[in-house]
Amino acid sequence: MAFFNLNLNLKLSHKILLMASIYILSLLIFSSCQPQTPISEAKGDVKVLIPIVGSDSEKLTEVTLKNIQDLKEVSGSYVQFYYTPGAGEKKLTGGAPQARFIRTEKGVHVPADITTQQMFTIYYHIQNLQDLSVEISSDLKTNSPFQVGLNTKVSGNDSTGHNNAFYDGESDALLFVPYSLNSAPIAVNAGIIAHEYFHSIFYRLLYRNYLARQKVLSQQAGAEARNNLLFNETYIRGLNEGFADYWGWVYTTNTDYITASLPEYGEDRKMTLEPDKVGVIETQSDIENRVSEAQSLAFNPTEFLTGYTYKIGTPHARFLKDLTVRLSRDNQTGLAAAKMEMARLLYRYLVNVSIQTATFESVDKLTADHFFQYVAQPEKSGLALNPGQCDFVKQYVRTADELTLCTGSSNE
Amino acid sequence: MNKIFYIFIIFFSLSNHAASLEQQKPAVKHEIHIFIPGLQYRYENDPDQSIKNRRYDNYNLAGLIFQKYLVGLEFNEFEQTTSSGTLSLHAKFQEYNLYIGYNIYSTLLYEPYHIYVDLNPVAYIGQNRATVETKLNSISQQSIGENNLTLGVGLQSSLRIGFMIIQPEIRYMTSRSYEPTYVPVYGVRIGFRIGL
Repeated sequence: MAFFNLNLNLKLSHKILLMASIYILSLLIFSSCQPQTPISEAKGDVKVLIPIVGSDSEKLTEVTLKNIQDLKEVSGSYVQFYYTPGAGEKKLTGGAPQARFIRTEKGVHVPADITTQQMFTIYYHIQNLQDLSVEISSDLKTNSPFQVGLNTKVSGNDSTGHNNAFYDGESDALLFVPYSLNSAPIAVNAGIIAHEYFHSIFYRLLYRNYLARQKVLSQQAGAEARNNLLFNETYIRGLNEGFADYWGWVYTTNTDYITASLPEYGEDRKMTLEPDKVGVIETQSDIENRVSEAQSLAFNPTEFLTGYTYKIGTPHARFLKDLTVRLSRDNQTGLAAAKMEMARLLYRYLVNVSIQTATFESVDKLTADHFFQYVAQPEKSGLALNPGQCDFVKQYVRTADELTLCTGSSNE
Repeated sequence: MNKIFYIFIIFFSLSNHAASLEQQKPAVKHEIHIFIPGLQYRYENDPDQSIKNRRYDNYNLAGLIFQKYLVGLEFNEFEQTTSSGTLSLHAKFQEYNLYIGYNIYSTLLYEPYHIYVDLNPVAYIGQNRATVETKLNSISQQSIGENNLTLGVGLQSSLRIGFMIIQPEIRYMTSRSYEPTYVPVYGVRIGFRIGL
């Protein structure tokens, strides 16, 4: 072959140049000799670097993502991502974002852009929240990956189209919209991810069945019927928001995780219960009045009452957090054990309300202290309360006969 | 890996065939080519599912031996910062490649200004590495990626105008750190020839 018929009558300097080139070439080949499997094809348990935000301390830390099937899409048994997704029937539509990352000598995968960082972070927290859910009850185990949409476009609504995240029950997906504030992005805020994740539990255990029942009942005419339905819906939505806020605290132990990403809303939703707020809730008449106002003023009363549901929910969240701390302190079980006990109580309560509302008629109405009554009846809630804890809970009960409360607990 | 193997086979066959062609020879036997930082474009995957054309900086030094054999060294670099709120990521990609080539075609276009056109198939081998600096408020952490092998084949076309060179090129590169693993690369640079 002519190419290999080199003229080897070289000057010394040319020989040196040629040898140097061959040497460098060999060095490169041998020093870089390694398996040629693309870095993006990592599978199984994968170490990654993520930010921890919304927790008790902010940091960058190495964590392990479990059961990864495709690291390029950061998909696995826990999560499936979609980029700018569309809504299909019971699932999102569209493609997955493509992750870009580097791998260090220690085998840690580090995101090279913000989208990848969000994917790694969300997968990690959903993975933990799924594991926590299964620990609470095996009923909460899911057989398919949790769907998460990034860069979701929400048309025609400025308030939900930016700086927000929400759970969509119909597609059973967690959706993040673009973030434009100067704080930690919502998509990496552990507490907010836990809050939104809880909505999926609430929907699965109670809200989906309740909405189906409501749809049947709403076909019956009558102003009072519509009033009752809207009252129940508003109260249940309030529970949803309050319990979700509490779930964020359970996961992070941070009473103010919302402020890390949404400073404007953090103060109103902080999980600290001031002494003058003990027992302060939205009463039956408070909720009834707002419901009547919504029906008379708004084209869409449900949407009108969205902001109000947080007013119902926040006292529930603070109550739950305070009671958890009391249980931990008084029963000397440790905070983790107290959190698990309260989480299981919430699970039982949601199942209880789901059963109760499944046979509701249009005249049936929940009470504004329904949840507190449940907690104050250990024979129903399964939660044993000492006298001090009982006195605390009773301050929230308005409509039940006090003699029926805290019976069967260590109060007797 | 099979793709690169076939491409190398084609490259050597082409070079071997070209070696037997009649062609005009430039006057200088050995040269050094020094290039000012050039432009390089690569089509790579982007998180939003699209293929983005990313601009790299290309630094290049080459030597032409016996008017036919080409040896060169290049350095390619790409930097990108993405951020959201108090989080930001600064990624820097750096690559060193050694390349060898063979002049398969050379012709004099215009005698008075010594304008020549050359065509050189080229093979690349090198190493790349990326670093990422992650910032969360005041917390910062730098991560250094592992070294990865780079391979490639391509075609350089040189327009020599006196002592100046304008050199566009196309190539196909592969590395396990690339996304996708095989990446088309396009570039152009301007440099100077120094005869030895």
